[in-house]
Amino acid sequence: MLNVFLKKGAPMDSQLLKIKNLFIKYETDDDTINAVNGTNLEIKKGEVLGLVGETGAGKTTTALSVLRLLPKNIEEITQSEILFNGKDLLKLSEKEMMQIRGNKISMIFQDPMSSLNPVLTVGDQISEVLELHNFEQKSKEEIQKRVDEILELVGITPKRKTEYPHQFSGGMKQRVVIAMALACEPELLIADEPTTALDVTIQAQVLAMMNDLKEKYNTAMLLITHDLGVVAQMCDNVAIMYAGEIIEYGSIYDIFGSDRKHPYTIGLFGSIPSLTEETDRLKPIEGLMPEPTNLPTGCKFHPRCPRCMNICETTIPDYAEFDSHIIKCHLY
Amino acid sequence: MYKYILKRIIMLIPVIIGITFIVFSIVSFTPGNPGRLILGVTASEESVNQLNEKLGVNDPFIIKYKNYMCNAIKGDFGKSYNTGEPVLDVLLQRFPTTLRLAITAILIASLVGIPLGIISSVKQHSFIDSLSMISALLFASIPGFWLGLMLILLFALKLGIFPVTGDEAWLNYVLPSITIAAPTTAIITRVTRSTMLEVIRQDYIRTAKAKGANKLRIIWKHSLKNTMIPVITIMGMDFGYLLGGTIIVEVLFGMSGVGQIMVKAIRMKDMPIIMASVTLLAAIFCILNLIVDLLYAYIDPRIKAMYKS
Amino acid sequence: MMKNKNEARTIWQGVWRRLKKNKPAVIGLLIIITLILIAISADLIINYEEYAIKQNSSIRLQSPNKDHWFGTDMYGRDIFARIVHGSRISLTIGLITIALSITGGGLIGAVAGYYGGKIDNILMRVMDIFLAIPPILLAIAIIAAVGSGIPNLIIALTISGIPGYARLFRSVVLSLSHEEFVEASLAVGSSNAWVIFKHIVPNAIGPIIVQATLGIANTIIVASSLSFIGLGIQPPVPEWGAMLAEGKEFLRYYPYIVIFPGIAIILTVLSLNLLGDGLQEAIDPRLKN
Repeated sequence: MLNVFLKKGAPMDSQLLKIKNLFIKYETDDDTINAVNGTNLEIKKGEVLGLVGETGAGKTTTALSVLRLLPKNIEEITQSEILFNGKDLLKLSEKEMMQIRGNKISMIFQDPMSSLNPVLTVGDQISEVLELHNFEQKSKEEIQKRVDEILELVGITPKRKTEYPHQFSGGMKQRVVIAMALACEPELLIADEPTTALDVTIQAQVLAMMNDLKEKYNTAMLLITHDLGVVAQMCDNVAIMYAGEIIEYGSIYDIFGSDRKHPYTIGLFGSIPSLTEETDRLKPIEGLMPEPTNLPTGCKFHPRCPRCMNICETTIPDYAEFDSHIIKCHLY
Repeated sequence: MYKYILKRIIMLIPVIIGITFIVFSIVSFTPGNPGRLILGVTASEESVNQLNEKLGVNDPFIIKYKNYMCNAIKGDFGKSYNTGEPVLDVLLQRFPTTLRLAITAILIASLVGIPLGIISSVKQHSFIDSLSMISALLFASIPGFWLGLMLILLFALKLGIFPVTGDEAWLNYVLPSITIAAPTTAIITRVTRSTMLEVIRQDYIRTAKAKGANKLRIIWKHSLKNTMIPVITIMGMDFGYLLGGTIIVEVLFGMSGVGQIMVKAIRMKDMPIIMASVTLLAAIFCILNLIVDLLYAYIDPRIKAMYKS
Repeated sequence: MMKNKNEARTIWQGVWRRLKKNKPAVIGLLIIITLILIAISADLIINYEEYAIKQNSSIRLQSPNKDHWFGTDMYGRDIFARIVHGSRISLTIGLITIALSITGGGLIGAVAGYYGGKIDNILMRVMDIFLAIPPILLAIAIIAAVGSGIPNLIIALTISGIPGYARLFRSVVLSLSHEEFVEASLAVGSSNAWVIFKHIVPNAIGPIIVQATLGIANTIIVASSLSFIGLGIQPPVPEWGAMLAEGKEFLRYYPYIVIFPGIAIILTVLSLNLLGDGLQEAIDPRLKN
């Protein structure tokens, strides 16, 4: 259990979210699933942190646990803490959490096609989040004005707020989702693969728009993705997740530019086709991510690691620090 | 929108005409001697034949059908072979009772089934969930006539709260309506519950939760409309059995509705009554289904949009 | 999606495994098997003529006792015997009706779904008009024409069931015939008939078995309801619905005449419903969390 993240932590007043030692496992009829195994993350105010990893690494589970949206049969070990502006979210009551959701912390999900309720108008769904958190007792007109405002900001004419989701295209739907998420000007936006389901051109537009909004409201973001291109475009810092733990962390300069990298990260970069280099074949990482029911001993990546050493099979590696760059590997 | 409603109502007409053709074809197979039925056992062979000729009994099928339809448009559905009354009068007199039974049953089924289904889904695996699911399964397997008899036994004969037969007062409608409603209620409860469980798993419910909505709001505002769409569809499909139940109940409880006279007419081979009552009941079924379709469009904006053109 | 016999076998093994776990479904299966055995061996259990049919006014209207486990009815007939022999009637009617309905409806629906176009249009228009008449009503109309009795009842119920199965088969065939494995098979030169039997039928069988099981349950209820109002099977044949019709005059003081046949119907239908539901969950398992 490493206090690296705590040591490197930013001064307390600019620290927004801090996930300490998150363990999430749940029991099904047949097995125990270890979805998250000791994850540590930190996001400062206004910072964009990219959370990268393959499907099944535990990224979504981690994100859902911040807003406590996991299904009820999930067990969390009590050593875990999720601090938001100093308060441990895991200890709040459901009522208190409801006040935070959509208001201080918002989350948007991967598939815009199914994220909107088909029987409610778009305007209704946006004004709902304002009504739910209407502490200033704004009038109906003021709320509608805000709805119009936010629709314009995401590039949709306010006239369309009486329309239903099925009348919008995929990219437009995701803009509506973003509008809903940012209507209350949250301090943190968690975006779980927000552009994965969209066409590449639309993807670029939506990302650019998210960037503008982030600048305007100084919203911090936890951007979950498996697309390193998105990371390069949007993020300040990156955390790489594998089998439920963070195996590498650093600024984008560290991750993209440094020679020192976790073998998994090297593999991730190697599996991307390059426009500039000529290669005969792509170099995918051999093997598959381990099942959360059956995790390897020692370093969880060792069965697939091209530089695996004897120690890797038996001992869990420590975190090696190089200024802002942290790598969990025996090589360092 | 109103154009759409009008269009659907007009499209009903060829369907009903098709139904009359099918029913007429089936009913015309009925063996029987209308002339003999009307004039009685003592009448002479000659007068019976004369009457049969006049009634068109020996005409070819198409002519018979054409004559029937031409008369029907004018409002003449023939006269009962048994009593000589005009069929139209008989049916008009009995129609309200049948309608009252059917509508009361639908109301009971919806007002009990839907809330029960919602509660069961929200409190999944709880006592009330298990209880309502077991009851639903049970009532879906109990034949209406047996349930009716048991209700009569307990509440009418032993306890004397309700009358056994007849249809004079609203009290008479209680046991019959419950009997008709029982299987439909069971189905509505089960379908509401399973649909609700599926709806709750949808992504847009997760979005609502992420916005900070509480449970009540999620059920009422976000889930209910979406749940009703398949539920109403299933209800529409069940109307056929509901009408069947109405017929049985009318016979069992001695209520003078369309179903009762239809069954009697079958026993007596009273063709005009058979023809008209079967067609009427089928028409009621079609109209009920039309209402379901329109309700559908009202609830689901995607369907509404399809038909606005 | 099944590619060969071995895969088919393992799929059915999976279905059976899941079904076994479902306690109510297993109970339903056991009850139905018991009832089928009773129906088959009815004559061995208790003599038909002597107990179920012969009238004997000296022992009429007896409450359940050790000689007559379910009592005797208004004609002195042993109710237990009548119920045992009645099981034959109900189960036979249910099975034959559904078998014929599925065959007839299946052929119509499969042809319509597979060939599409004009054939589909015409067939479905006709089916739709039939479907506009509630099945019970249609059965009643047919019985009005052909009269009551077991064969007529079967005919009436079969015909009223065909449109529903035609629709079902059509939608199953439609959705399957556009699956890629069908297109692939046609692309390598299989004939239409081969594709239908080798590829479409095995995949469609699951939902059809479920509908058939529930259909038998439904048929039994409709058949007994029709007999109750005098339009199905007439006394003295010991059909359960007909027994209730006879017994309703004596409801107040001799309710057992009505209670026992009713319970027989309920037991049969309930067990079929439990089995059908269980089969549905076993064939198409959905996540239950």
